[in-house]
Amino acid sequence: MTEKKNVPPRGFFFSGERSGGGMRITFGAVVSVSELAGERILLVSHGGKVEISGEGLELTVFEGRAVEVVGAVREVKFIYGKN
Amino acid sequence: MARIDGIIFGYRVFRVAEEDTEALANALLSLGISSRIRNNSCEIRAKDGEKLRKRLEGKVDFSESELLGLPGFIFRNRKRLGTALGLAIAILCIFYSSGRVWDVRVTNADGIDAEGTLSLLEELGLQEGAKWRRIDLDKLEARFLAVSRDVAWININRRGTVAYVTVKEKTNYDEDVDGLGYCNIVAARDGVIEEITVKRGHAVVKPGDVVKAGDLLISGVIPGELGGGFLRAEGTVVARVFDTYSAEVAKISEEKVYVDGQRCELSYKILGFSINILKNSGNLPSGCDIINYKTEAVLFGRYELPIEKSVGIAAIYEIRTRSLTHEEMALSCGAKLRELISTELSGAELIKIRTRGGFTDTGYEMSADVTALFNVAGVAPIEEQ
Repeated sequence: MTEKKNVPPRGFFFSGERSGGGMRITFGAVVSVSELAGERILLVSHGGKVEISGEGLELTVFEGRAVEVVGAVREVKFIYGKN
Repeated sequence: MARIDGIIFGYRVFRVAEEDTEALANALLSLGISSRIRNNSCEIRAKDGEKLRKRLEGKVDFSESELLGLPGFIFRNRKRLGTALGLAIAILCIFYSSGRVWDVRVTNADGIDAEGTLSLLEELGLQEGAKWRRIDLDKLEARFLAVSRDVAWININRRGTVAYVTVKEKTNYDEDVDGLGYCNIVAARDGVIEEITVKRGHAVVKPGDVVKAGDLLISGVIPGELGGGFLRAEGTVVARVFDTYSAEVAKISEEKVYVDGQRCELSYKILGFSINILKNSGNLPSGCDIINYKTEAVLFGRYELPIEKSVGIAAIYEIRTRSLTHEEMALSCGAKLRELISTELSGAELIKIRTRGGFTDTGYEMSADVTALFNVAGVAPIEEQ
């Protein structure tokens, strides 16, 4: 009997955890970075945009189009719409 | 702070104007380069610097630092003979000293004289200053057990330049340590007695007797004329055992075929100390095996260096079915039967074997009639009557 091949999800995903006095949030399948500043970061994915605002924000890029935002995150806004 | 692999293999700092940080981030994203962007700059491994430079040239004003990390340090000080000489002497000293035992530590030595253990290990060749290359830990443990009267079990682990020795005290066989108490020796399986060696107790069978599983072989009951009482019977009873083993292979088989792979682990071991560069254990694809490849550094193809590289690959597989040919079925069944017999007869002496096989509707079957000499002594408690 042949098993069905399980294909891992390749769409947008995010996960977060508390880190120090702020947060560490990872986003997957990021297409590009529209804005990058200490108080505001705007990420673009296929399904829409993510706006992260706060203080002392830093961005780390990983292989596979994943990015991590670290800092005193105050608000995360998901903006849906085809880019 | 730069990553450990950047420090070891070299890295550069790329700096851009504040308004160009998005362009820098997008360049890193599209090239698949891992780096943190901080204060309009990022640290890039030396091997990725070329790719990023070509991507940014003409589009963004950027500045690139000189090569940093260990390769950069060596390059900047290449004309300073003292630095190079000092570094070479330090490496030689570390290389030389890492090949010797710096300390031997005995742990879990309850009831065992630690000093005596250390003295005995010293006589057998494990002492401060001894060369690791000349010490075979497995043979050393075996020789220690052969010589020592008080130790039942010893384990020697090397961690860096220190030998950690764990020992366990030997227990008196006359003590009731496993709850069995006084016991008899009975037959563990059917057979014909070939040889009987009694260490404690008295034998109730002789060579040539046919015994079944459970029959008494060596009694732990002391006869009345000898004072009466019980003891823990001990001995070896070798019997000729007849048995049949079978194996079967189906015509339709499933096999694992590797279709893709991705690196998930990378670490280096230098002088016995591990440095983990990459470890991805939480985001692996389903249906994959982790295969580890280890490479050891060898100088001039002869001298082993204390440097080891370990790469873990997540190999993605598919289960595919296929129909075996007659020859493949027969060979596979033969191998399976051989492995079964080898496992069942480990510790036994094979006297005679006769095999037969044939094709069935669903595959191929093989069986073997085996005659072997087994130690059939099994322990059974003495039941009070």
